[in-house]
Amino acid sequence: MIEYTVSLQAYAKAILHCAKYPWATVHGLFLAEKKDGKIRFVDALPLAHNWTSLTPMFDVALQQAQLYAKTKGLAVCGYYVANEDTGATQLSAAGSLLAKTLIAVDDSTVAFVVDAKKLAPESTRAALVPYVYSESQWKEQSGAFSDTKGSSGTKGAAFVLENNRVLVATRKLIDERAEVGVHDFDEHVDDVSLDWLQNTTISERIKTA
Amino acid sequence: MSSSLKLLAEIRQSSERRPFEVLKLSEPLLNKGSISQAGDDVWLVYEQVFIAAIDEGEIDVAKAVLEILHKRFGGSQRVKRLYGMINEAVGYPDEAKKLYDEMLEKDATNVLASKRLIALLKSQGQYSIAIQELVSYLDTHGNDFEAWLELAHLYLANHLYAQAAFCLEEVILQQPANHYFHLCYAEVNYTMGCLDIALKEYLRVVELSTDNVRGFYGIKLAADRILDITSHGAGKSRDSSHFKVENAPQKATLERLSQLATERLVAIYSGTNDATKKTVEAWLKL
Amino acid sequence: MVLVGVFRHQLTILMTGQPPKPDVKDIRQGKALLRGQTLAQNNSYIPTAAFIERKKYLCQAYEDGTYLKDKASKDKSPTDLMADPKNMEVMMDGMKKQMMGIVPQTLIMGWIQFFFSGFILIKLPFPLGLRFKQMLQSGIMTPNMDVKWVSSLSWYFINLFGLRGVFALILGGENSADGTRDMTAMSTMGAMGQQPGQPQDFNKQFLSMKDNLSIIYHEWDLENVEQRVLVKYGKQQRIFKSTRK
Repeated sequence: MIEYTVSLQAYAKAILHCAKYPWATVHGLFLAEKKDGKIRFVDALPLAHNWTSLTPMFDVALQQAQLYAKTKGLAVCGYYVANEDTGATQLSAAGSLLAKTLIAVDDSTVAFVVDAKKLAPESTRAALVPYVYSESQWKEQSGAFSDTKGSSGTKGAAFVLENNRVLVATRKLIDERAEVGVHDFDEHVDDVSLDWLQNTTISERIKTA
Repeated sequence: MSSSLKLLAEIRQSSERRPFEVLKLSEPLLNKGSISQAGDDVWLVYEQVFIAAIDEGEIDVAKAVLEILHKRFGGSQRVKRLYGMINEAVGYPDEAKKLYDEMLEKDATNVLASKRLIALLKSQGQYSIAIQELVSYLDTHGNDFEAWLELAHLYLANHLYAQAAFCLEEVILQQPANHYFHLCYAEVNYTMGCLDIALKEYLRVVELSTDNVRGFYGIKLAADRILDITSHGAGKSRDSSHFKVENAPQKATLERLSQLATERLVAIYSGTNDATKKTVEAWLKL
Repeated sequence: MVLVGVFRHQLTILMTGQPPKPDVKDIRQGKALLRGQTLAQNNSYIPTAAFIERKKYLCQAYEDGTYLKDKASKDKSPTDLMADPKNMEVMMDGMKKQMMGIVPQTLIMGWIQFFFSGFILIKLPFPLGLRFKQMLQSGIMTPNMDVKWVSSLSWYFINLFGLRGVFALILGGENSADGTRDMTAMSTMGAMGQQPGQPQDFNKQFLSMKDNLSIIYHEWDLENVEQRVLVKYGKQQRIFKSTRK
């Protein structure tokens, strides 16, 4: 059984990225630290909010992300996507194809779909629906994040948030409109001075949140 | 005219979607009543605030503004559309749909209503019906390039790349000098495997827009990929069979283009921080 | 003069009312033609295959009258098109507008003729050559009078043309107080064929657009874009020989 932990940094950055473009399909990557069969998502790399089903810029960004991750001793093994239709939590056909390219490099890759309904202030669950690749298709892991201490998902994978503070802190950041500080690869290629890899300003802010 | 009104007008004209800023700018105007300084534009400002409020989920603000508009214009078609939008926002899509249908029945040329109807279908995830509606809209309004662009989006969401490419060709026919559309067209072609067209379109992008980063990334990707495919020849045809490269330039030209892209990207990234620069350099295999 | 102008402007607004709204099929018909025009104009910006596909489709559609408002009217003569009530309305509208101009114009003219013909109205403070005589002293048959004197009729005409600026100032640019438009309208009255609002024969236009499209020799603008880009970024000297394969 693989245990996946989502850190505040990764969760908040991904959610803020989605909050910045609520009207569009948004996607990005998770960077993970692997240790003793446990995978801990430590950071998120926001990719795009325009033309998210096209491959060329995704290829470029993914390759760069992998190179960047290598220098940090991390692995790119998470993909997140928020559908334009906020009610939908299925992994779209485009999303599963893109996530499959990650599987080719790292077979422990998980794809997450952001569930906008769980972003409501009163929600106590993580707004991520994980999909695990098995038998050549993506399967939804129901019951993930259901409690803090790793109850197992259906197919030998467990998902937990780093701690209880993750949701609260993320909520607070959204209320403070911190999302304007997140820059994705899309913005980066329009203005290369926007740092999509490190997102320094917002990373600091999330740390102190 | 106050500076916030000016800013609002700017946002309106560029039709950018910055609802949060719109609300923030307009809030003092609405409360102090200085919104009337906008003169003839005041109703446009109200409409803008309304739409921003809907975007931001500030239904109360939207309702208040709509009341003002209703008082002034009564049952005008444009205001009716706003009623439809508020119905959509508070979760009565069927009511909204009924309103739009009514408007279209009254006046089949009502462009705003047709567009809202399509947007509504899209937001409900009924892509195939939305596509049908949009196609019939475009049959009448064939010169609406934004609608073609939207249709391209819808097709892409359904993985109909060839159809999306067709729509983008229409957009390019109408707006041949806008590099952004060439970029989209290039990326769709690249995704479909038409590397030769993609490369040329990417080149067009950097011709129209100097040092366009996406453009050069695209050139680098496409040129290297074509070089890879052609140099391995038919031997590796399993992988290259679905790529179209027949009309690609000669090997020497491809190499020069790849070289050019590398040089420009290095130059563009020379001012960025270390991590970014190193990553890009590693990516360029320098 | 000014008052008459303002009065006329208001009256025109009152009489014209809303122009009739075109229905969906009218728009479709017009836009279809526009699409052909755009294709003819910008054909070089899309790949050859894409162009040929469109050309084939549009030519066929024009030939078959797919986009015609009334497909049955394809073979009818243009006079039958007049039967369309909408076209009638458009024409009536044009007539109404012109009447609006002509009636007061004629009234004032008659009035002026009646009262002022043969009168000297003002004296210019500067001398003018003999050539201005015709312009300034119409209606007066005194060959020996100094050109400085302006007859009333001439003064009227000078005002008629000169007040245009004043009207633009008080009524806004697109006003209907301007009398000169009526003058031009009157002169074209004879040539009814050119009148605005005359129904257009779309079938004919479609067919001529089809001819236009079918003779286009297509060359993709991006055939030699590699060279252009290399030149633009200083990687290559401009070369003038054709680079097509």
